Parts: sequence; C-alpha cells; structure tokens
Amino acid sequence: MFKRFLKLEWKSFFRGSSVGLNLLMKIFRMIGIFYFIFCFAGMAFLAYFYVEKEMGENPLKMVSRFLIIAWVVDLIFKYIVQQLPTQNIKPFLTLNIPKKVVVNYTLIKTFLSPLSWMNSFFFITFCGIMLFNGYGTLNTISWFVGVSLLFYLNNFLNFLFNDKEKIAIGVGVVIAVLSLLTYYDVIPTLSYSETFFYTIFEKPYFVLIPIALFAGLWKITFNYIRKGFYLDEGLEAKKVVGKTENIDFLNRYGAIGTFINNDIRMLKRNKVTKGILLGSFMFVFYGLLMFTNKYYQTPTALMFMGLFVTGGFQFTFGQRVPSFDSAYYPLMMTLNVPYKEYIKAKWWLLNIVTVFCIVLALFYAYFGWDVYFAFFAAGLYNIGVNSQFTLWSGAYNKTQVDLNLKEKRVGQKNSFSFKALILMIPKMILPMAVYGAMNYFFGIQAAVISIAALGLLGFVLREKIFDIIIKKYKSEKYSTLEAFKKD
Amino acid sequence: MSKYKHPSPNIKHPIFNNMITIQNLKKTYGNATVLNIENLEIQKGETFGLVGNNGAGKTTLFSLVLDLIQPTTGFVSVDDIKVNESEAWKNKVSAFIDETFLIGYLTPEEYFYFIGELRGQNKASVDEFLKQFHDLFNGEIVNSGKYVRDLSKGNQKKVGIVGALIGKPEIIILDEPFANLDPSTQIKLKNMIRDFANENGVTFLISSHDLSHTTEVCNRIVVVNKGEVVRDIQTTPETLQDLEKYFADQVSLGKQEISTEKTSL
Repeated sequence: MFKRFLKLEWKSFFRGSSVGLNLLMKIFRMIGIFYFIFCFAGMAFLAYFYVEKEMGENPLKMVSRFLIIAWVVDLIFKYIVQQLPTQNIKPFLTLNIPKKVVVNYTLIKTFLSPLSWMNSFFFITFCGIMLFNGYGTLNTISWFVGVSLLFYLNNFLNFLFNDKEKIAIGVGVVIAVLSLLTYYDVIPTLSYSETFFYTIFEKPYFVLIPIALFAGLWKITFNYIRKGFYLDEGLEAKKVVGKTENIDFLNRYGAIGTFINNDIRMLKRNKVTKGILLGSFMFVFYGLLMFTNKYYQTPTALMFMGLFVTGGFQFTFGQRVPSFDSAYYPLMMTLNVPYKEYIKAKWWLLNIVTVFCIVLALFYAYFGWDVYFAFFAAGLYNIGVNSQFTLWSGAYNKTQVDLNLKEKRVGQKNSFSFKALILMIPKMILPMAVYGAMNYFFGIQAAVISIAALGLLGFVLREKIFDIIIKKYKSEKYSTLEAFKKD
Repeated sequence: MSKYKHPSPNIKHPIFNNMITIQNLKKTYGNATVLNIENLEIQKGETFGLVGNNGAGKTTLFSLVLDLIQPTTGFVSVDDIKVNESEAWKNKVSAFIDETFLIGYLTPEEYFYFIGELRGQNKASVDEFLKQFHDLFNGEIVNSGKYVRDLSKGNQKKVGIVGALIGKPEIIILDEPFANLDPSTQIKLKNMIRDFANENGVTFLISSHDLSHTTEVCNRIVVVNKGEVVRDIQTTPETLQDLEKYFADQVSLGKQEISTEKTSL
C-alpha cells in the first residue's frame, strides 16, 4: 500500500505543471540539498576534532551541551517552513483503504521531506567518528537513536500545534524567557542538556525515554489526526471571518486607487503576501550587517545594502507583479481598465512602501549620517529607476502563485528568467558603480547627488518607460494567461 | 465528420447594427482545429445562446471574443473594432467564464464594489443595484462574513454572474451560467436575463449544455460541433424539440459509426 502511495508522490512531483520549465530549478535544489548534506557532515568533523584538539574538551559532552539549542531551532524552523500534507489526502478518504493506513502515511510523509532528515547527516557522521575513535558501540548507537528520535518527534509537535497560534505564541514566550535566563546564567539549561544527552550515552537503557516519548507522541498525533479525519474537521482549511474594509481616501484616485485598495487587501489576507510583508520589513534591518564585516562599510557595499534596505518590498513583491494576480488574471484582462492604469497602480504601491522604508531607515543615522545618506540615495534610485525595471522584469515572470498556500519560501523562487537577470544590471550594478566611483573621486555629496539625479531622471521619464513596459506586457499577455491557467 | 445537412448559418438582419462580428475565425492547437467559424454576426440586444457538447469549442469562442487567447486566423470585432488591436471593447463587455473571474480574498461586497468602481459606479449605486438580488442571494452572500474563496461553488457562481451585470455593460458573456445552480436559482437567473435584455437592451452571449434553459432564454441559438457552427436558428416554440432531435441523431449516428467500424474489422 505504501509503495503505491509513494508512486503517487513521485508522479505528483514530476508531473507538476512547473516541472518541464523548471527542471533547472529542481537541479539547483538537488545541488542545494547535497550542499547542505555536505555542510552537516562537515560540521560533525569540525565539532569533533575542533573541540577535542583545540579546546581539549570531550566532544560528545560539548555537542550534548548545545543539542537543546539545536533541538529548539529545529522545532521553530519546522513550525515555520514545514507544510503539513493534510490537503492532498482527500481523494483517499472514500477509497478502499483503511483510515489507519492513510493517517500513518500522512505522518510518515513528513519524515520524508529533506527538512526532516537533513540534520541526521550530522548525527550519522558524528557517531561514525565516535565509533572510529573507540567510543562504545552500544552507547553510541543508543545516543544516536535517542537524539534522532527527539529530533524527529518535532514533526509530531508541529502537527499538534500547527494551527493553534496561541499555543505556538505561548511556547515562543517560554523559549524566549528560558533563553534569556540561560544567557544570564540564572538557569543552567545547557548543563541540563549536557547531563540529559550524555546520560543516554553513558547508560544506554536511558534511550527508552526518547523511544517512549516518540511512540507516545506518535499515538497522540495519530489519534488527533484520526479524530479530525473528516472533511469538515481537521481536513478543512481554516476559514477566517471576512471583514469588508476600504481605505476611502484612495477612492479619489479613480481606478488606480481602487487597485491599490485591492492590493492592500491582498497583502493583508493571504499567507504568501503576509510572508512577503514580513520579509520586506526584515530587509529594513539588512543594513545592520555592516557591523559584521569591515568590507561592508565601503561606499559601494553601502549602496548595495541601501537598495535592499529601502527596496525589500519592491524586489520581493514587484518582481512577481502579475503572478500575484494569477488566480484571477482573466478578470483583470477583461475589466475595462487600460493596462497602464493597472501597472501604474502597482507602481504607486511599490513606491509608497519604499518611501515608508526610507523613513523607517532613519534610525541608521545613529550610525553616522553618511550611512543614512547612502541609503537615502538608494531609496531615491529605487523610486525613480528600479520601480520601473522591477515591473518590467515582472512581464517575464509567469509563475503561478497560489496566494493562500503556506508557501515554502525555500525553492519556490523558480521564476528564474534570463531576461530578468539582465535587468539586474541597471537595478543593482549601475547605482553601485556610480556611487562608488563618485564617492572615490568627488566625495560623498557628489555620490548622493548623482544617484539622486539618476532617480529623478527615471522619475521624469517614467511615462516613456511605462509605455515600453506595457508593450512587453501586451506581447506577453496570451502566454501569461496560458501559464496562469490552473491545471 | 457529421454529414448532417443544416440550414444556412448566416441569417442577416440588416436593420440592426452588428454588435459582434466574427470573420474567418480559426483556432488550432498543433494539428487539431478546435474552432473554425467562417462568419457569425451578433446583433445588439440579441440573446445569443451557444449550445454544444463538451469540447465543441464554446469556451474557446468566448475566450477569443474576450481576447484571452489569440486566433490562428481571422478576427473578432466588437463595434467594428478588432478586440486584439484596441482595448476599447472593454468598456462594453463584461463576462463571467469561470472562477478565475473571481477574486478569492475579497468579501462579496468588496468584489462588487471593485467591479463597480472600475465600471464608473460608486458604492451607493452598487448597493442600490444589489438590492434587486436580495432574493437571489438568499442571505448567504452579502454580509455573510465570508471571503469569496470560502463560499460554496453555487454561491461563488452567483457572485460572478451578478458581478458581470454591474455597471450596465452592453454585452454580457456568461459561460455555463446554469450549471451548479439550484433549481430556484436557475429560474430566477432566467427571469433576470430576460429582464435585463428587455429593459436595458443588453446583448447576452450564453453558453450551455442545457437545451431547455437555453431555448427558454435565448432568441437565437447556435449549435457548435467540433468547432464548427452546425445550426443557427431563431428560437420558436419548436426549437427545443428540434434541438433534442439533432442531438439524438448525433448519438445514433455515433453508434452507427462504431458498428460499421466493427463490421469492417
């Protein structure tokens, strides 16, 4: 039975609509997975030999000490990224398959995602080194089994708490408090962790604790899913109460205002767009990176960071402009609104957020006004030039976006297009080069002014550039419609 | 394939002005021709019914009229302007083809306002317009506290159809409007379409599998089969019988073909 299920998975992977086009992306993803496997295995060597040779400590004790942190990080990471495969089992409900099997299949499926098994490569390698260096076989195996089960059990926790935001927030608060207390040495969490995990090694029968926990949680999760295994319970996507809302003053601006209003609702009400909003907010703090490395403090690098600090939203949202409307693109194409208005509305939205980011970035002035000036100039460039180039590259982006799917941010960026890549030159390289050169020869004032002038130039020429963009959008219209069709 | 003799497909009404003109329209995918219409003219105020089996080309024709796909040859024009050359037709046409014409994350009200605002209405006039559908909505749509994506299929359809009626468009295109609706709603919808056509002189293009609904509502019916127009008739009391006979003949014709194939083997 399971074999048949796995066959279906295989087919769904290779027959998805995006496969033919994005095989390249799949290959990249494979390379990425191998890279991480390599990293995890490498980390094991590092953890063992660095600790032993350089620090003169017992590597197993040291690893055990920090395992609690790794475990918490794993849990949080899974909570954020992992998708629970409850939706695509609907077709199996009425087939002649015992529900028990389907539920177990759902559970086992979560173990198959690379996110789950990736970190095992660390433990496998680490235990291998341990065996090689004369640690007891039974002890090592019990440590390995115990630790692995504890990590895999996070999948169950994720299942149980995934749709209970309040509990998740509660757990988050507890973790935050605990880590603070640990940081200030109030509670020696780390030595507890060391004792606990090291005991599993020392006294192999302690492995029964993780085994019991794992089995128990499996049972609990199984019952939980089994109980809600009806269309109107656990399998139903959660519904939120719809609220009619409207930003009235935008209505004064005609079709553009209507569209912006609509986009704001879209941003607020869909999982994917909420992620984008959060992401672009994080980008505002991207500039803090400059304190990690001296290299980041050169003017060119400051410009680079400035473009992202002020343009995070523009890059993440703008690049996928028609994609976000993919679910109802035929409607957009038949409404009595010229293309220009549609594009312009997006342009305004991008720039309003960019202005907001420029204001928000004011706190960088604390680190020196030249930093903020660089970011300010970058912001102007984003408004004047990049907003249009971003929309332009959007014309080539034909990836369908399912707005309400919890998007796996990793590996979803399969909107790779060579043309979009070429457009990166005016977007990133040009301002960096100009800013760097002007700063070198004429000082910071000239650099800021010249970037601002470029931004202004783009702003003045925007109608012309819009016309080019619209031509592109029009010529791509039919193939975009075709690509956005649901399969 | 079909050797069915049919009357001339072009019935011209020189007194009326043509709202939609279709000329030498052909759509092929690879070797397969999915639509091939030499000439078709739809007059202002006509309620035009498009009937045919699955894969006959109904949705393809509508998609071509709405400039959602490109014709292989020929053109569609609305008011003598080709749809793929100018966007002027968008002022006159509204459509509900399928759920891709709905915006899932809006509440039904917001959806209506959105469409209304783009069609030059304000909130108050949309509210006023929606009053007449109170009965149709059955209390499940407006102020239901649900987003469109969470409505049932039937209710989504109602939202889409009513959305297409907002703002007095001159041409309204509805693909399979009767499918998925409950019997009472089907009746209400038929009355609504008739009222709209009579009062506002709206041109309707409606496709359907359902012969009786189509004959009740439409004053002209075109039958397409495998991409070609095989019948073009003004509705009379006998039309329904006539159409049923046509499709029954098709079925028995198909059976004969299979049996002749068998005997020839």
